[in-house]
Formats: sequence, structure tokens, C-alpha cells
Amino acid sequence: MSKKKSKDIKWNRLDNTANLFPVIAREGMSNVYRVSVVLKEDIDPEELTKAVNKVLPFFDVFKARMKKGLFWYYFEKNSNPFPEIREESTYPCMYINPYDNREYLFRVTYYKNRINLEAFHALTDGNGALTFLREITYQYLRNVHPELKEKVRDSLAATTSLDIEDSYVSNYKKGAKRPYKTKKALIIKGEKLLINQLSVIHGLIDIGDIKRVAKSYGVTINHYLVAAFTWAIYKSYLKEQPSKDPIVTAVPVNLRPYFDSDTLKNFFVVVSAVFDVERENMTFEEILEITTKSLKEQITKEHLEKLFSYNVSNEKNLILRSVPLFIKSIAMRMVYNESARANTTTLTNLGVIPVPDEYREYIERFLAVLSMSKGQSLKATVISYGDELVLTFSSAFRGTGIQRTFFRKLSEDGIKVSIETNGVNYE
Amino acid sequence: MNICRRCKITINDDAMMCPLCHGILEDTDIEADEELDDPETYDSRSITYPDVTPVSRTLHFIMKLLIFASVVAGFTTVVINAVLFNGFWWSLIVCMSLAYGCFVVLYVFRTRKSLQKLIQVQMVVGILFLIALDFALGYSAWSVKYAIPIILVATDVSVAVIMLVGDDNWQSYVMTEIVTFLFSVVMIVLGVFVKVNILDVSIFSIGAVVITGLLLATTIVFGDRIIQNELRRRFHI
Repeated sequence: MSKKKSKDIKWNRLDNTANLFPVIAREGMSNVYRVSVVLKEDIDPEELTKAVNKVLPFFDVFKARMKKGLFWYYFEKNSNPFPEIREESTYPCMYINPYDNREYLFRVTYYKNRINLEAFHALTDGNGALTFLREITYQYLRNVHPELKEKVRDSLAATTSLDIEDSYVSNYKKGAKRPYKTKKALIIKGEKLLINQLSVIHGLIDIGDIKRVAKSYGVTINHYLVAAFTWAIYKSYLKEQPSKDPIVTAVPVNLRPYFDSDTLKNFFVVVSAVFDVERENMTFEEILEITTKSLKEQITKEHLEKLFSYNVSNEKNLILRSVPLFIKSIAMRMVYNESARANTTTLTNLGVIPVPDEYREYIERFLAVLSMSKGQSLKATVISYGDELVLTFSSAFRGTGIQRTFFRKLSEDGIKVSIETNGVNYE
Repeated sequence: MNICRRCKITINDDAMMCPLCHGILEDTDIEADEELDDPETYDSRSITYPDVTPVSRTLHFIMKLLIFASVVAGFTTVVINAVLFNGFWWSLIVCMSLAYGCFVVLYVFRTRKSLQKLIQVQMVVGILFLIALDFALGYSAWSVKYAIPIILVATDVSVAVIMLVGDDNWQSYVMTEIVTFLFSVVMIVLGVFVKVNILDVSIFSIGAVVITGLLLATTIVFGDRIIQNELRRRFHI
């Protein structure tokens, strides 16, 4: 028992949002998302392995395993070597069983010219994952193109932050009241694919085109996309008929710019674009106005602060903290099941990915894919790089009516769209 | 370039039909002399994702077979027992054993788990199985007097061996030591104070408390700061 090396194992608590994920994650509801980078050349797996092994030790958030305490889950440093990097051979965003993965909660795979990073959401959000993916990519490119080392340092980028503070706790306001009421939203139903099967459709869109169209409607790209998604559900699923349950699109908001945070951990809240479907034959412009107004009302610093402050106040409550984990888990599962009914779908925008000029000539695009969650079997992710915006639909439904209506709407508005899929919709 | 005229989009896949509307695409690479009547010609696939073959279901099938065989065997013994009934439902023991066996196999092989979790669950289920068996045999308290204390000590000793042999994460097994010690204490407390006449204190129960307690104390004393930190993490509020 004299193994000094493990005397001071680094450990840290799960952030406020992360506490939920280990409680609800399971096969078929993995809470795993994917961020990928597509290069202009095929991937060399050996060099990719070297790159991951070089970068990983710097990222405490990823070099971790999850343990179960009496009152909370927690992360501690994972001293196992990272598993061998394999070619992609499954559907995206499959459940990560840590004991099949040397206790790591993320996986790295490759396919042709694409590097995939799939992470369990308890580790970090899309922003944190993209920071890690970019560092892996830069390291990989420096390995396979040694001439790059003459232009850039062979180390992490100066813009990368390794901060792992729980920014929810650092920024919450004490005594916050519950800012929202859970109201049942429209739940999309339909014939499902096999368990774990996921349909992925990437829509490749010219940023100039979509900017021009959004501007012509007098809204931002995000507002336009949320409205087009809502419109597609209204037109294709509801057949332009009224519904007693509103179409609610959950829109995760990155809190870092609002609270001056650079944390690698989760730091986001979810706001909702609510569209009460009161009558038939509504126009796209009407829906755009309603969803944009709904989002604008919620995306203010004060409101965003309220959204997470209530949850953090609960986490800080000593009485609630002293409740054993297995009871907390039951309660969290109940609350989650209730709140899951409040959203029809999710559209998340990871923004424009900044890449130093030296690496740009090697990178084609970035992609992101979300896994399904309770009540939501169709979701969309947006990510932009260079002149291109990629909107990805991931779906557990066999049908593609909503995606079809969405892309047709973009085309009608004069936006050039080309799509790539993972082939599931041809089966 | 493949274009869907209905959706007005370009399809980058190696496709004959649109993945959104399933309409035939325009301007594909089909040669004029290709047999368009052959459905194979209409195969469409992704060029950016692998063709995922279904995960092997062999293990799944073996597990189903195991459950089915156990149910058949259990049912057969119940029928034989009923037909040749001599005042003793021995088939109950067979059914319980089959259920226990199935659980063990399914739990161990279905998904990979931590060794510690496997040990703890096996211990608890084993204890429940032995109590049930004792009741099925007319309850003479052999399970609580002898069998359970032996299981607790055996678990504790196994864990101590794992810790000594050098699992990298050896300090985490202190949790199993705590669990076995608490179980041992509960056995004594129930026997002495509750006097429900189900649990009798035996020399084995006392021995279990002493051995599990000593092993736990040894780990805490010699584990020093490593164990203190492990306990701090495990019990942080």
C-alpha cells in the first residue's frame, strides 16, 4: 500500500448541469454528442494516436474517470492509458460504457479524412469538446506536416484555456426563485429506427447565402434557423393544423461570453423558442416573428442568470446535499422525466470555429451531431467554419419529412444546400 | 453532381435517389448502357460514413437460450415434483438455484462493469439467495449463523488480496471493506437487540465483525493519506 503515485489523486466535483447526466444515461439515451473535423487529407491513425496521447494529459476534464460517492458523483484523474484509436465502425453518439473504454468518458475515432470526438455530456459541453478537438487536430497536423513547426509552436495554442472552474457556482445569484414552469410541449411521434441506429443528415450551406436571407427577414441566422425548423414541424408533422401543445425548440446558450468565463466544463443553459399553434395555415413570417420574440425575451444576461441560479441554489442547499445519492438520483430522474416533456426538439448552434491561419489550409470543415433524449427523437446542430455553415439533423425516426420540409424552405428562400448523410435513410 | 429537382438540393452521397424525398436524382453518373431495370443499380450509400454492420448478437442469443433453458428446466422439475409429490417441494430449490445462476451469468456478461461493483452485487445477491434457500429448507438459521458471515469474510479477504496484489485503483476497495463491516455489525445488532429470533448471534457472526473490522482498520491505518483522501472524495457532501 505504499504507492505514492496515487497519494494525491486529482479530483473534482461535477458541475451543476453534469450531475444529471450519469443519472439518466443509458443504452439508447447516451447523452453523448459528437464533434468532428474533416481534413483535406486521409487520417493516419498512428499519428492521431500520438497526437491524442500528447494532448490528453493537459486536459484534466478529459483525463478523468467518474466515481460514485455516497452523496455525489465525482471525477478523479484517470491514470489508465487511453485506448487504441480505431476506425469508426458504429453509428454516431453510441453509449460510452467506461469499462469498455479504460474508464474514459470520451472516444476518438476516424474515418477517411474525418476525426471524431464523442464525449459524455457530464465532462463538458460542445464548446469544451471543440477546444479539445482543435488541439488534437493541431497536434496531429504538426505531426504529419513537420514544416508547420517552423510557423507555430509545437504546443497548445495560446488561445486555449485549461480552466476547470464550475462557472455556474462562480456566477449564480443566491436565493433565486424557479424561473420557469414545465408545460407540456408537442412530442413528435413516428416509426423509429432500430435501437442505437441514428440517421444523420448534414446540410452544407453557404454562409453568405444564409446571412443574406436572414438579413432580408431582419433576424439573425440563429433566429432564422429556429423558425425554419419550427415551420418544418408545423407544416410537415402538424400538417398546418392547430395543436393544443406548443412546438417548443430548446436552444442551448453558451454562457461564457455573458459571464466572462473560459471554463472547459459545462457552462450553458437552455432557453426555449415557444410557438403556440393556435390556428391553421400560418405563414413562415408569422412563425418567425413569434419564435424570434420568444428567444429575444429570454436571451438576456439577467434571465440566463436566473435560469441556472435556481439550480445552483438547490445544489448549495446543505439539507439537499446531505441526501444520499441513490435518493437524489430517483428525484433527479423524476424531475428530468417531467421536464423532458417541455421540449419538442433542440437546435444548438456551436458558432463559428476559429482556427489559426497556419492550419486553415488543411481543414475542410467541422461537424457536430447530437444524440437523442427522452421525448426528442429529432435534433439539429449548427456549426460554422470558413464560408460554410453545416446544419446537421440527427434522428431516430425512419421518416425524413421534417428534414425535407426544412431544406426545401431554405432552397425556396434562395439558399444553396447540398447534403451528405450516413446512409441510414437509404435502407 | 446529383441533384434532387423536387427538394432543389445537391446530394453528395453516392446515391441514385434523394434521402429526403426518395425521388430519383438527376445528372448522376449512370452510363447509358447500364441496366436501369436492375434494382441493384439503384443502390445508394454514404461516401462519408462507414457502412455499419449490425453488432454481433451471438452473446444476446446465448443469453436468451440460457433463460429459456432455465425456464424449461424449472417448469419440468415443478411438474415432476407435483406428480411425485412426497410432502417436500424440492423443485423450489432447483428453481431458486436456476434463477440465481441466470442472474449471475447475465449480470457478469451483459455489460462490462467495475470489479468492485461485481464483487458487491454478487455478495448481496448471494446473501439473499442463501437466506431464501434456508427458508425453503424449513429455516434452521444456518444461513445467518454460518453462511453469511463466511460470505462477508470471504468477500473482505478477496478485496484485501486485490488491494495487495496491486490494482492501480486499490484504495477504492475500501468502500467494499466498509460495506462488509457494516453488514457484519448489522447481523450482530439484529441478533442481539432486535431479538426477532431470525438472527441468532453465532461465533461466526462475531468472527466476521472482528475480521472485517480488523481489515478495515488495517487499511485505514496503513493506507494513511491515500485512504483518507479516498474517504474524503467518497463522502464529500
